Amino acid sequence: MNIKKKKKNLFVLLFAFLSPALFLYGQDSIVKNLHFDLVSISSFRNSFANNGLLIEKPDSIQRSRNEVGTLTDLFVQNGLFFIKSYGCGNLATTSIRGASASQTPLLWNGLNLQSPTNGTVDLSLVPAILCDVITIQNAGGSAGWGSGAIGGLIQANNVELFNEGFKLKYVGTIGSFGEAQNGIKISSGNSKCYADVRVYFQQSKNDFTFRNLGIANFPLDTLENSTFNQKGAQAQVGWRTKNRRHSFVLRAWYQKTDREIPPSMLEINNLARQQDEFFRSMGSWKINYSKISMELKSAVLTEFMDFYQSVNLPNSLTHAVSFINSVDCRIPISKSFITNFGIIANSSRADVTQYVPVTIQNRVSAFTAFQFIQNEKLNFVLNFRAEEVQAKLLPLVGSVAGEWKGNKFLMFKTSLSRNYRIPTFNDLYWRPGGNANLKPEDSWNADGSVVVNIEKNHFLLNYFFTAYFRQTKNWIQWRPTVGNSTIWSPENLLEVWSKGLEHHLKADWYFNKLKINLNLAYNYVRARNEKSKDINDLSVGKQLVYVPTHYSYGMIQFTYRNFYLSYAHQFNGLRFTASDHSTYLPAYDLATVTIGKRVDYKIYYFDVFFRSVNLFNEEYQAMSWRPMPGRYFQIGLTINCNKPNTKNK
Amino acid sequence: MKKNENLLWIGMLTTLLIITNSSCEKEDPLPVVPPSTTGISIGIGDGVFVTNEGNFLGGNAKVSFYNFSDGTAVEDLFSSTNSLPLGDICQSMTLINGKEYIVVNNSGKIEVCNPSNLLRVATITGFTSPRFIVPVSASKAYVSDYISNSISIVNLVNNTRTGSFPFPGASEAMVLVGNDVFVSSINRDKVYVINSTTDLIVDSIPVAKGGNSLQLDGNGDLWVLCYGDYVTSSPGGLYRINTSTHGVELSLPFTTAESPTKLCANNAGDTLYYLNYSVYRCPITTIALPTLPFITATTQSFYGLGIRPLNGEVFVTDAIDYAQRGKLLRYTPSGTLLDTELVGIIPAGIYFY
Repeated sequence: MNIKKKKKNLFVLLFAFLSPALFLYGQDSIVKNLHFDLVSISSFRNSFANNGLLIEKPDSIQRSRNEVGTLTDLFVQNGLFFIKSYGCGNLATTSIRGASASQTPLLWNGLNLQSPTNGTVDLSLVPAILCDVITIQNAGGSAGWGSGAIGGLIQANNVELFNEGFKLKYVGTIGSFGEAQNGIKISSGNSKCYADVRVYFQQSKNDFTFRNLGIANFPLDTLENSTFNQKGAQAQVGWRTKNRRHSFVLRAWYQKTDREIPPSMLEINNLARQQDEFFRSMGSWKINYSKISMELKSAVLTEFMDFYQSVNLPNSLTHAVSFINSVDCRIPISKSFITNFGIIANSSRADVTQYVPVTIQNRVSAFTAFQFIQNEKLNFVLNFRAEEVQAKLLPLVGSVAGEWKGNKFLMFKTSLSRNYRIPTFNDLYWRPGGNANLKPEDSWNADGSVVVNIEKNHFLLNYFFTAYFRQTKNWIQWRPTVGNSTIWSPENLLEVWSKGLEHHLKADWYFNKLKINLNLAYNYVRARNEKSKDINDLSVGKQLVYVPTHYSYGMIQFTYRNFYLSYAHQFNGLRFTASDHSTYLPAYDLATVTIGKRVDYKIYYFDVFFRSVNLFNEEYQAMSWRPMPGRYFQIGLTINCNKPNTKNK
Repeated sequence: MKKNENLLWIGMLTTLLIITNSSCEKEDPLPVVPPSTTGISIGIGDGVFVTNEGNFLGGNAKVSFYNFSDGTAVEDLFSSTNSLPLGDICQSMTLINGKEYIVVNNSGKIEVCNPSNLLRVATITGFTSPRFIVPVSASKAYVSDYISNSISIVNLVNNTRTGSFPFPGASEAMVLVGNDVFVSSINRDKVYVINSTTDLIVDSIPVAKGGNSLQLDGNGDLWVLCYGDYVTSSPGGLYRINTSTHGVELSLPFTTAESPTKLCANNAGDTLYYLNYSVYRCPITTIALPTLPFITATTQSFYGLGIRPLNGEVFVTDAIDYAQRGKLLRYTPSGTLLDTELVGIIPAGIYFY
């Protein structure tokens, strides 16, 4: 443990010392290509809902190495936040600022992909190849995005490819434990229309060896019942009028995932397996005039899940379908005052083995926002949202946020928001135990950030520091029913206070043919329950389980001519596994080294890399008794063709 | 304008400083390492074992031991003695032929241990979802199972699973009376009678679903406690069965809102105890369910129950939030709290030694 602590302290110290040193650099001009892209705004909502908040993106270097694979792979490699992973290909969920998985929605082009049944998004079911722009908001945002956005928000959006010409991209990796990931993207777009198709297939046996700490003498064991297979396709087409006042986009996404559920070290070998299949489609119509902009959106999201545990137990089946219709308007009243308002209607239907009968939930929410632009340095935004669920009005939520550009390299951001999460179908209707009297989780979030941007001839730097706190009341937790220990039921049990600090620094240096990219991040999270559940309760005032207090990440890449070498290191702090802190999992480090070469030839480029993950062969558990692989290897290949459109710009 | 900007600077920085300062707090202390149990030697009558289920898939099942003389508890005796985790979901513990048989449900195994320190002498594997073990002879035992629709047979001489025979559902509590084994079922509305020589079901006795515990009384009658079926909203009940005729002589239904568990009796077998949120008790001569609790739970989550054979002291466990160490509560025979000790997560079974 001492070694772990030293490592952690070393990392924090390195960061603390390095940060001020980097500020000493001047601020001369010339912007080069940052390896951290600026966040592009893809919808009206973003400009209002994101105001005052720091919006991050996965490091573009890591992004390019993880274009095929799932978001689990991408986020684990990126180190933006702790991932609760049950092992390769298995359930993986977010843990942002101590929030639960259901308190961090994942939006696909504005549509919330959280399952209406359990309220979570399994990151292993979202392939990275389908997401052109991924952004992470580490703060509550219900006024902008609705129910669930208490801890944070992830957006995975497709870009519209009007006028982008012809693009073809193949990405593939093969690696240890039977891993093979392949994806291909083809698109063509002119000024009037575009089409984009992506197909992907990935599989892994995950039959790695590990030291089984649950068996006497800790013998080497091989993970069984652990294969993962995923295939799917996404297509989108867009068309717009000649004057560009109107544009139409249709998107469709089908995916099927079959995976076996491997046992933990202490579980009897089982044959459990799960199949997830879904079809998601949406259409949008954008109208752009100088006095009003509008987007009408309609979507159908279907999902099917079949969980098999034993021949003597019935399969657990889930069929869910959601119909979503929305309208979103933006009206600039004047140069200094812009309004945004809209309405979203959502009807979800779920047919689950454990629900009787089929359950339907209708929701309507209305939102509005006002942006006041004082001058080019100062602006602030007010957001409000009201939602009705099954004809019952929820409390009004809102946010006030502001951004102030102190000078050319310094910016302040701040926000205060009230956020909420409605109970899931499982919470309400599961039989036995569903609790129809649950209240929505109710949360307040305050954020303050300083952002520093420095640009010099051969140097670019972006640093931010955020401090926050959040209070969440009526936090829903399942436990045996009072008076009936055999039935688990959700209750509004906890009141959680979260406080924390986030540092993030990215820098690029250019020395002739050598380029150095640096990325350092450190998160400090205190998330504690402050409400007692029992006179003997020892969890009050203690950090929530599986929430690391310290989490940090660092990556450095050297690029010389066409060759690159990168080293990434991730520190995951100690996590308590019992609410009274009687047990814990020790901290662990993960290091990844990558070496590769990129060759550009006319409109093509080829990129090939070799990567070793868990370089130091660390033996660790992200979740108790779930084996994780030691050192393993991957080889990746990208072939890209980009033929720009030269006509009708 | 410059003045306003300065004010903004000061305001922003002050806000950040306040939030930053309030965010930084002292580190959570790590759990104290419990004292070594090396050399521990538990004698008959020294105390009580508490089996702690632990969380499903959490791998934190434990067996605790509470010492009557000094009122202290060892939280995790098995791991401490064997330097090995017990497994996932410790379901039950039974003393057979001088050895403790600890059934670990989701690990599909039974650990056989010396009672004096829980030193492991054998591990019986090959089960699907074992629940309870009952010896039916000096060399043979039955193991009930939640999933496999069968009952396993164990050879107690070499501690191996030798086979199984079919059972129509989830088998749960078992009691041996003469040559017959009475078996309750969670998902069937019957108590089944099995001939332990032929391993065949010879009779079934109608009760409610949710048969979770069986208790023989001082008269040799068998009491069955069922918590009902929540899916069909059918209520549970307390039943008295004549073990000779297999007839139900008394049937006392609960309401659908109630979920009684953990039926047990005092040493004389003249008083029954069970959990129904609080602790209830009634004489075996009762013709109605007790209406008032014997020990009332306030905010506690009572989960395990046992009556000390020697003096009738009542031991109850509180699972609190089912995610932290629970408590063992020791009461006098009249229900006055004597002692409270921390045990493992989800303490469920109380076994006097």
